[in-house]
Amino acid sequence: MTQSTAVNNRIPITLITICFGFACILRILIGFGHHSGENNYHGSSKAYGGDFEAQRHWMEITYWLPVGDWYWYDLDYWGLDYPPLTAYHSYLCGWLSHRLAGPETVALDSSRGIEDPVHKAYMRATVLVFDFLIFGTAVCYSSFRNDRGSMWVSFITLCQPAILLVDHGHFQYNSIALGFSIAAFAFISQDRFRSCIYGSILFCLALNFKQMTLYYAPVVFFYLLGRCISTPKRFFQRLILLGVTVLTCFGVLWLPFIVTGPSDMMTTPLERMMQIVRRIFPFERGLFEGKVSNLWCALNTRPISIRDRIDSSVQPLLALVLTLIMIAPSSFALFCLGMKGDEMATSKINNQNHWKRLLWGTMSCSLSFFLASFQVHEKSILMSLAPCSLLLWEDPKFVLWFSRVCVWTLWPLLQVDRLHTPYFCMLIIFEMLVHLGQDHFSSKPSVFSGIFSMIPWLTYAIMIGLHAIEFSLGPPAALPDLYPVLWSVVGCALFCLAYIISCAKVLLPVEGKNKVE
Amino acid sequence: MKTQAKTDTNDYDITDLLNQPSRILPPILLISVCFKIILMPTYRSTDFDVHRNWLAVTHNLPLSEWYFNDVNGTTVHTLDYPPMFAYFEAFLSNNPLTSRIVPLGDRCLDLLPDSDNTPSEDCIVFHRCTVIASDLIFWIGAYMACRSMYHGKPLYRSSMAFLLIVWNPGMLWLDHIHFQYNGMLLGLFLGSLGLLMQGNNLGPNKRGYHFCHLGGAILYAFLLNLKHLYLTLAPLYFCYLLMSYCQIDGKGFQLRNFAALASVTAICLLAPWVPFLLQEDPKGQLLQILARLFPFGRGLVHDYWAANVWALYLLADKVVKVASPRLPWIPISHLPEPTPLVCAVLMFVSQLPALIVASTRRSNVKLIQAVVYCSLCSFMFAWHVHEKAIMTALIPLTLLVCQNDDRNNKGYSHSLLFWQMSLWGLLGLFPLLFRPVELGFKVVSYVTFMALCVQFSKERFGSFRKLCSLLVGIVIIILEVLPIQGKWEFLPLMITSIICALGLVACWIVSLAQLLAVEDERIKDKNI
Repeated sequence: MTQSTAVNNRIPITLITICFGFACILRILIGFGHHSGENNYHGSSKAYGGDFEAQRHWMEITYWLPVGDWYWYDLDYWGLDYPPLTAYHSYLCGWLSHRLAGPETVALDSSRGIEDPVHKAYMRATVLVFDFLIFGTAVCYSSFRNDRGSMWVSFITLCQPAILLVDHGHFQYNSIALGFSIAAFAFISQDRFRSCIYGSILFCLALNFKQMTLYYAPVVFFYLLGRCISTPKRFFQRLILLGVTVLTCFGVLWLPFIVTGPSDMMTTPLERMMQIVRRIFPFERGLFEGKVSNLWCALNTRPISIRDRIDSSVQPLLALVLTLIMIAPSSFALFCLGMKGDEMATSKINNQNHWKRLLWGTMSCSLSFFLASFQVHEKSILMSLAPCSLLLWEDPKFVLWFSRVCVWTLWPLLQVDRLHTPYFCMLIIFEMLVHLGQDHFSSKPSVFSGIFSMIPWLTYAIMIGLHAIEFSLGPPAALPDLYPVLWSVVGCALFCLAYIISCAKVLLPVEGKNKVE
Repeated sequence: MKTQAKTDTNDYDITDLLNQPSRILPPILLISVCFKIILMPTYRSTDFDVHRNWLAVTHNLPLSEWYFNDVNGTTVHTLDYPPMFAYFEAFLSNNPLTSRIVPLGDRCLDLLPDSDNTPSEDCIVFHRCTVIASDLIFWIGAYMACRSMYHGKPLYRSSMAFLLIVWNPGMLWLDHIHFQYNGMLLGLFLGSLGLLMQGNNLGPNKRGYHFCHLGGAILYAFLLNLKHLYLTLAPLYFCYLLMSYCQIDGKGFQLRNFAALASVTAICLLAPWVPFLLQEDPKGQLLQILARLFPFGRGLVHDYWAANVWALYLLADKVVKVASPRLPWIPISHLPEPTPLVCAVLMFVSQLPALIVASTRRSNVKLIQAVVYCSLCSFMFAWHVHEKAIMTALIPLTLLVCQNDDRNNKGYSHSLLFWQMSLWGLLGLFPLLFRPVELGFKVVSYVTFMALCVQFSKERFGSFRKLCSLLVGIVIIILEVLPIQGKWEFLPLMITSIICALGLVACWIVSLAQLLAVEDERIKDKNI
């Protein structure tokens, strides 16, 4: 019996094709919807479109201009404000766009605001390809272990509605940054120290693709520090090795921009570097943007109005202090975890627990940034969602709850993008997939057990209720922003809860928790 | 913890899930509805305008003008389906719900010339929704057919067949992107087959036997009045019902059954025509309708050759035309052009084996095999066949897929035939959606579905299938990726249709072999 199951244990390639194909179809289907700013729907007079146009514009300037000009050219019209790897990626996509979608799609200046179905399909295809190449590979590499549980974990992670709707609906390349980060986590959590080096290279790539991955940086740093300390004899050797790797990585990626400057003015290398940093971290934009479900936005509602009470020069400092306090538990826990890193090879279970602890830590850390740091986008929640989703087999109830909350908080954004239909359809499809796996999910232990088991249901009732109220009543004339604010306040409360749970998960020892339940 | 891990690592059979239809079917249907809703903004062909114009015709004009109107010669999208379909369009355009959905002042239901008929967004949504809603009939029909096919067998088999039917990507491409109502028509067809099979399952002494057979006949009569494409199956239905319903083993011919069958069918066939014949000029109406239904002037093949015998014939013709001036030993300069009559005769003659088998060996498997074979015959030989007609063979064949999954069956199994036929038939549909925008969806849904078929068939994915897949990959690259322009522009389409034609002709021959094979256990038991 055991022998025959061992033979049958390999997942058939057809089943993998079906799962991947299904995930791919979902992405393509969402891609048929509107992208951000299509038809200049917001009616912005200053600059056409949204993230879609920004990405296209970057392809245009990177394709036509010398490297030195990339961070300086006409900054008022969607100037490049992502780190260098995004710029190179834009160059690659622009080069292909010139050849595949037609030269007019990336013509310098004259292509601004171009709308063409084939070009849109091309842009969607680039997201799709990189999504599968990097995110898909990373998810499978980190979680796919040829058993049913890991199959579900990979599949549900690849079908996360929040990630799909932002990347393939709204239009961004988050999956690349997420993929690099997840791959980095998978490498640094292996028992050999050499893997940590590979992991740190991957993490540098993630950092250089999207500054948002800085949300993971503290835990990764403390974890690697722990790994260095775990064998005191080799502490300096390891530290220097990691330091050199990171510096080389950054150096290689940043060098072209520091060596060459803009063609129309004289600049020193330092000025060029500062220009990139200024572009990447736009502090002048304010404490938060739009209606985000984080603490600052929630505290900015009428009676408290935190943005008006506190001087704007103190705000970044306040955000920094609060963030530091909030990341302390996860950083400390991962530092301790790193110290135990070299003992991992002893057993497989141990190894798995190590990996899961790491994921809880990254989730907790990124959530604290999302809740408390400066200048947060609503899309940044994906940074917490991706590692959380890989924990599906640990605590399905919590992970599914968190997935639903994440996509729900994106509703105001998706509404602006006119992605109502994909939003609801994706929610239904996701629920149905979960329903098919219900047998496995409901039998697992969960934090939402006992008296807490009502929390998810209460949450769902509130979420659906708010949708129903918004749909049937609409905003009162005096408070046109009522619903986005409600969304952000409720979302903030739920994320705070998720933060507390993730802190508990990362701090409490696994065995002790099992005994309590 | 350890025991948990052990139960998790079971084999990857999804049979346990498929054995609970009530748990698996609602999610599957909901997911497919969501897919269809998201597909609304994709490409739509002129068939959309055709059906929109039929809405306008039935909304604005009296019955007597339905088949005459062509908006003063400004539209080619005239009504050319049988009367029941006209009533269906009238039902869609004239009910209170429609006037509530389509906003006031929208031109959706107006008679418009072809030059100026761009529909509004609301109009598209409304029209697409009618297709999605009419798919309910498809599901019901498919469910009936699957349940009666696998009567008394484990539930997972009927679930598998049902899943493969409702998730056929061809239906998504044809109905929900290209725009047609094939789902509804095939649903009626499957429902009719399901009733006939259920009647067979019950046997002549049970209650419901007459109901099932007569119901099957009625549904088929309705179907004929909805789309006359299904006329090619009329000989099969006639022979099957005559021999299996009107004749009972040991008792001989049952006149009562025959009378009931004949009268019911005749009423259903003729009733939809009565309102047209009650108009002032019944003969004129009748001739006009028939002229619209059978436009023989359209030529032997479509612009894009459907993957049938005629594609190969035309290729041979082209070869002869090119070769004969150079090679003097070829006696003819071109092949003779077939007439509609030749097509009809060929089709009928090729159908004869199916008629004989269906009327002598009365089993559900043989009935479906005969239906598949007959549909293939009409696909192969009929006049001006569309590539879409392959669905009429492919969907019934799906019913057989889970029939013989026991390994000791030596013949060419149904699931392999189904895989082959889907492979070539669906590939032949690719040119319908020619825009690059839908390319990704087309290819990925195709590959996923083929993988699903293999997953369900439980057969090894042997080297033969790998070879076929490779060939398909090459064809897709030639058709969709290579930028062939100018003089050789026609080549990708021609290669596609020729290769698909070769594959489908092979499937057709195999389906004949299966039809004639004596393997079915039940038949052996009955006869010996």
